[in-house]
Amino acid sequence: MGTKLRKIKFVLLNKQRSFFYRRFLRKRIKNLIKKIPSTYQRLNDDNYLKECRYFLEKYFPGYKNTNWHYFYSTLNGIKDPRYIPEEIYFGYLDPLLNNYDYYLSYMDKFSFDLLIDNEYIPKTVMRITNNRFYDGTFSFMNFETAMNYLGNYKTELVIKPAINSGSGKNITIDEAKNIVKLLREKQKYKSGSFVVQEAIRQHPLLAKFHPRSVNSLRIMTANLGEKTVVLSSYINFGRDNQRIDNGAAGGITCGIDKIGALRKYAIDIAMNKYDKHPNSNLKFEGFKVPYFEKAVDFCIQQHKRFIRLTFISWDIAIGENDEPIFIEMNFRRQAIYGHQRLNGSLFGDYTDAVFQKYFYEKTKEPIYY
Amino acid sequence: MITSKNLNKRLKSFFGYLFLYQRKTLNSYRLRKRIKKSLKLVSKQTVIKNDGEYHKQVRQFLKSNFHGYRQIEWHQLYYSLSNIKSIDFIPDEIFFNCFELILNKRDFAYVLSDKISYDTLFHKKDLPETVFKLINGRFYSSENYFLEREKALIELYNLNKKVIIKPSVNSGGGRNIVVDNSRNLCSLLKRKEYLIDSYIIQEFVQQHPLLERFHATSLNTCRIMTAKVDEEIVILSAFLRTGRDNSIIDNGQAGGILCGINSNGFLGSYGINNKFEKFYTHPNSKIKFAGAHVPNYNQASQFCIENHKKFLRFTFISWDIAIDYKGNPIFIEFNPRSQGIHNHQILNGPLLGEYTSYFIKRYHEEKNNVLPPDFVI
Repeated sequence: MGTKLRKIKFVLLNKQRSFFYRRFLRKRIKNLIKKIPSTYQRLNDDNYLKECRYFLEKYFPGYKNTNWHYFYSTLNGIKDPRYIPEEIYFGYLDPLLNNYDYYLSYMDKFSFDLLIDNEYIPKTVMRITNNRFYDGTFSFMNFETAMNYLGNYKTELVIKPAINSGSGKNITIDEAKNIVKLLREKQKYKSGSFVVQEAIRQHPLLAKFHPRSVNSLRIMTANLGEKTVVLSSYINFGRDNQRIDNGAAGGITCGIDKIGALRKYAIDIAMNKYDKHPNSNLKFEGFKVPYFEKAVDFCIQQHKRFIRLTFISWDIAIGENDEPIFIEMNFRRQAIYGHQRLNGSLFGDYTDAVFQKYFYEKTKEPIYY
Repeated sequence: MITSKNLNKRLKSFFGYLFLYQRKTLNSYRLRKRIKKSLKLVSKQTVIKNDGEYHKQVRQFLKSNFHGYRQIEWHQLYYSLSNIKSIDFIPDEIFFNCFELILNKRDFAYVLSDKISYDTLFHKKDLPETVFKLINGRFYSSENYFLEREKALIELYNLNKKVIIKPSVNSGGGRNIVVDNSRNLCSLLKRKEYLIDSYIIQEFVQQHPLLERFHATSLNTCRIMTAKVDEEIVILSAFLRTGRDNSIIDNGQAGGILCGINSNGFLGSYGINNKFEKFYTHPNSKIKFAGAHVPNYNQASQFCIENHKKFLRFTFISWDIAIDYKGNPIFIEFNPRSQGIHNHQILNGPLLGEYTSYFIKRYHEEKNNVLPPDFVI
């Protein structure tokens, strides 16, 4: 009976998900198009839209909406029929190729130490579950010794929830003293699970743009069966002395091309264009991300450990010692919007390979947990 | 009003509670059936002991700690089989519905109990040598590199060793496990089922002669159960599983014979099978259980303790550990969910022992936050 119920859950949730995305993302794109600032030149090319329709018809018969294509090519000026609409990505590709049941075990920051090479993770100082304290080597501490241990730290510390810290939610970066104060006083740390890490010290070249926040790379990799490739990548910059660089938290994002050079313009959440950082006035064009190749190699190597997942988005910082530092990985509802509006089509030359894998996996029966 | 986000959230919590309820009711339904069957089987072997005073104490213990639960059949079974008169025995129903469901966050266990990802969690020298991983009909090497099908099959043919192929998830009870020479396996892999699910192909572990003498065709493993008690990891109970009648699997459900291990690594005086028959010698090899010992048991238990530390989400873990011919512990699998406990209690007495009151306290502390913070959808 258990497996039958799970089957029902699987089918029902899949139906609900595709229905939800079809209906509500269609509204979202309409709103987004309305919000495009008037500085952009509107696209007016019927031949291009015809090509787009032909592309969609080829892989998703019946889907004719070209709004996403219109939106992306207006923003970045790249006319490519191979853009992937979000309805299709979130409704069909993502749930099938990335098993969502793995979400909790892979996204749990407690298990990062087991899954990723330890030298690339910022040092874990403390793990907290339900008011029980375990230090970096997993040995137990009672409340007072844990507070003393934390209080002796001279570097800055980060405290974040072990799961669900998306778009900088509930993340605090501060000196050790103040973190101890938080843990003593705030009620929300008395239950639930949290990780305390040493704050990242980033590469001086990246820090120049906005020193208060860790300016992190977002690299998306895909496992296409035979090989693992990098699809697209961009960089987040913080803004106005904020500690968090996330686009949703007010940061600006700039695309990175294949060799690691920044593109001409960066974009913020309201789609305003910047050719230099608004606070430090540094130009984006011509800047090369230091040790970008190392970061890309790291992502591809680590993706090999997760053969079950097809798409992974990696949050990587470049450290002071020129090595990539792993912050987080995302594989459920990863934002493809950010990639396509900056770099053009997400899959690009790998479009055929991705869809080949999709149609292959579609014939198999999934595992019901 | 039902809006888009609202609907999603409602569906999430609806399924969350539905599955919780379904798990609980299914567990109690299944286990109640099982205890009735078990008691019938036991009555064929020994006399079921009835002691009014003892039953009274047990009822009081259960009623006060577990929401008025009053089934004493499990205690009856354990008392009459193990001759230990203790109220600390935990009924299976209570263990699954109260302890495991709440203290082990099972939603975190999916990947971790997947055999394909074991090499990321443990050191390679502690695992059996992986030959290939087979995911949806695609071959991957032990280093996770993609291999073409024909090349992989040729490699498998040339290997010419005894190998084992098992499903990467849900291989409980020895389901779909095949042990054979790798040459014969090449034709087997053409079958339809091997093109759909995911499997792992490993070399068959050459076990320690002291364990092999009980039953040579199966890999005889130790089942060790560990628990996290705030500051330390403790070993609750352990038993040895041996195969029977030339079977390739040592599992109790597959007819194997189980024998308790004490804390020094020595075996108990008798073994039992799934029909609760007692054996003082192994029926095939005629070797006495009493006095025999598991080689390097200390190292094996230390391995479990060291590794349990890393898994903060699980309070109870059951480990399957084999001992290889050099005496090193080899990790076969671990079970963070639906781990059987009745064999432990029959062979070694009360499972939680001195920690009973601690775990009851933990249960009452945490019983209200059952659902994970973000239920998977």
